[in-house]
Amino acid sequence: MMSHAADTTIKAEPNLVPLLDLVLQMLMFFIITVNFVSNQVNESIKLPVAQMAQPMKKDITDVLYLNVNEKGQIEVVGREQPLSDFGQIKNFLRTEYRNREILAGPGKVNTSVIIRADRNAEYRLVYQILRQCKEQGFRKMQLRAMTKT
Amino acid sequence: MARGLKAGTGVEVDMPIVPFLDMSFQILFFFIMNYHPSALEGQMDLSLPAAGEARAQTIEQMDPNNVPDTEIEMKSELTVMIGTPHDNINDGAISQISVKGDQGETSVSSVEGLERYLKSVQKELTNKTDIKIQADSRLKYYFVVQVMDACVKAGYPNVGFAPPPDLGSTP
Repeated sequence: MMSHAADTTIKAEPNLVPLLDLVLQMLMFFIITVNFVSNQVNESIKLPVAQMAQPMKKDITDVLYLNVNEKGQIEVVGREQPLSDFGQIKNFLRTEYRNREILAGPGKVNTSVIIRADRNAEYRLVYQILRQCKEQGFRKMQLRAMTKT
Repeated sequence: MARGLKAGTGVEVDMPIVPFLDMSFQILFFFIMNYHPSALEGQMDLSLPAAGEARAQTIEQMDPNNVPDTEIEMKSELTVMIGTPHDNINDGAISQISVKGDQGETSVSSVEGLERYLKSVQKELTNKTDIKIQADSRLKYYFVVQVMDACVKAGYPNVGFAPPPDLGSTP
């Protein structure tokens, strides 16, 4: 128990240090998360607009993002040059599928391929990428679009 | 500037935590507000046919006439065909929309007209949910999604894609 002398004033200061620690930890979390999301989702790709696009499901965790630019090239995280020809795209998708098959087991790959194609890309390029995805074994696909202009 | 100094008791250092906390809260607020960089982004599920039968286990079971299960089309009664001009001016835009079904081919004037037409013929169909889109290879993806949007709005949730009729002829 603290004893107080009669001539001293009581100094009541809340301890803000734990609060500051907590705020800094939350700040760190948000900074890291924002960077992570922007790596997967290429902001330079201008998505088409679709009124019937559904809100994104947050329960899907096993995903493969394919950011298709207006030239029909796939921009991959960690690679400076996009995948331009179909041989490269085929090899990339095959490797991705095999890696996921090793983890999930043969025939149990449940990855959703999310295609974020630029609005100015030609239909044949998007179609051929879709076809390649299916040829390599991916079964779930989603197209991304903006819900508002 | 006598704060923190007491005669005979040594030096007491006070960190000014409150302004630091204020600044941290402001930065935190900024990141919370920008947490979803793609909040306006939505998804459109693509319909694919179910996986085909298992591959042949032995050479004797192989059927050279069997088509591999690599098509990304649905079995539908209606196919929306979209054309694009090749005049180097309006390349990639929609020049013609038509719907091919068992009854023949019907042209529509616009994407809105397509939606109205698809709604009007839906009750006569056996398969009321599936539809296919077959676009020219050079059509911009933006217009393909517009047509897909119109199909979903008209009541056909399962939209599939057919190969472009001129695939291979374009560089």
